[in-house]
Amino acid sequence: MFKSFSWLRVVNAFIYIFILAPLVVVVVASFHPGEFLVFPPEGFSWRWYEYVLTSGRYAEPFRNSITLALLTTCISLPLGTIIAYAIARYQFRLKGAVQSLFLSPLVVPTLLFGIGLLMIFSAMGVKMFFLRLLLAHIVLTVPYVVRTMLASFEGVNRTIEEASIILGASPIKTFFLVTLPQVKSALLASAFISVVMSFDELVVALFLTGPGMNTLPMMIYSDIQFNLSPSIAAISSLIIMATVALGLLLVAFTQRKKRY
Amino acid sequence: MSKRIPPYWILLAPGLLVFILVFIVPVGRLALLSFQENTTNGESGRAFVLDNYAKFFGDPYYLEILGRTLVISIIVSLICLVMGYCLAYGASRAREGRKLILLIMVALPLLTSATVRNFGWIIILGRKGLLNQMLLGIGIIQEPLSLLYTPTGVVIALVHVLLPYMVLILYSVLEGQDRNLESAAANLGASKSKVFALVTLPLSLPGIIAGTLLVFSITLSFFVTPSLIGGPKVQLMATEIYSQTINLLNWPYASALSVILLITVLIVTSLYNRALSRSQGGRSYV
Repeated sequence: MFKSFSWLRVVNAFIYIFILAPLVVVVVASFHPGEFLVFPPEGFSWRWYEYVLTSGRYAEPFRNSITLALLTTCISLPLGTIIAYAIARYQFRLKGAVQSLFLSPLVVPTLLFGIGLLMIFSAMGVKMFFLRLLLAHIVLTVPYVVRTMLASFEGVNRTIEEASIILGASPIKTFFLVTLPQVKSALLASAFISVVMSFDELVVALFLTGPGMNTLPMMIYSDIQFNLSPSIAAISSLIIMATVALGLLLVAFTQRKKRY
Repeated sequence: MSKRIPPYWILLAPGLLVFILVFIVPVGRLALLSFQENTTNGESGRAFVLDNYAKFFGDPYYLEILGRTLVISIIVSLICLVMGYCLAYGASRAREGRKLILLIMVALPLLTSATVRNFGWIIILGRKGLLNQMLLGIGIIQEPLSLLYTPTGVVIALVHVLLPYMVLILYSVLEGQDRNLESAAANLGASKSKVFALVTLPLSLPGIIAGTLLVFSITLSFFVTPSLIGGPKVQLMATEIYSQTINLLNWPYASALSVILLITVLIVTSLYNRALSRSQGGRSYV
């Protein structure tokens, strides 16, 4: 009995190694001092971090990606929250259809969405690559916001809202002062997912951008194919660290809130 | 008195506007274009012909790509299922304080893009990569294995990308199970393996189906991994669609391929939704 249990543990230990190995390997490889990517690294240096941060090669793609991620979130967070609120609070015909419409980008492959948008944008002559990407990322992130906020709104105690209305607050005031504070952690989680999704998004960007506009994931993607150097490992490690730090902050925040 | 517009339509209006213009129209356009002839400018072909579909189903080269995509997706789903079940079972039966850590370790890769994770696999799987060095060092193999740019490499990297989804679905089902049923079976004399085979496993069946179908449907259309790890030697539907669109500029044909892929994905997804609603319905009876 005890034996079979520890056997599962051994198997799981290997699977955890499998899960974490690629991430660890990327971080370790980033310290290699030489020109060409080799593993294990023959020495230790911060050379490639210095290169990534000071050479300017990554500065513009990074600026594009972070601006895009933040702008996308600024739009998709309120948009998705309002949609989720309408679906959670009102009963109406077509409610099921509306809900599946807003969740359907989760089902339709991103690749196809990207091609469809490419065709529409080139037919309409929309040449601003940043605007193209912004619109696409809004549609890609809204479903995650809707899904997270929907679950959260459904858990909110409605009698408090009713009390606020009875005491004379307008519905809008009630929404901002009573409802929203109760779903604060869901809002944070949605914003986090939205920023990370948009920042990491590659497939749609490959279709919708063109000369003069490059995002960080596109840069990494093309470097992996044509220019395999330790600098990719360095920039990837920086992204991994930043995302994990943000994620842990989020977990810490929501756990802390639960305790009260 | 004139009828007022209900408040929910006002709330939904901005979202509907964006989704119709930026989602419904492009995807619909894709479907329409798949019935058009290919012309050099890609725009003014004769409307409604089935040429593109005839080309796909008449050419063994493309049918082979579809077949390869399906086979790889099935293999990836099954490997994810076995590995994911081990992890989910372990985490759901772990001590209360450990659960969160075990789950965070599984979900951590979800926070990093598939591109970065595939880059890690390129370092591990290459001819002079970590895995070959280790296996040569131990003496299991004499010649380095070629894993990069092979279906095997693609499967390994895809499993890594999709495993977290599987674990999270299976974990929620296993965690929601009534543990008294297991204790009851054990008290009545069933051995540990019998309890698992006759109680735990059948009760988690809806999660197994839902998780497998989810992984299967995502794998079908996954682009980054076949593109980076598979290369030109392992063409799948997603990479073929990409090269038809970007390199060959045959948009009507790319659209037809997309529609075929989309229909496959939609069939799998509707099965998935049915399995999921059954698993949630099942839980409410317990």
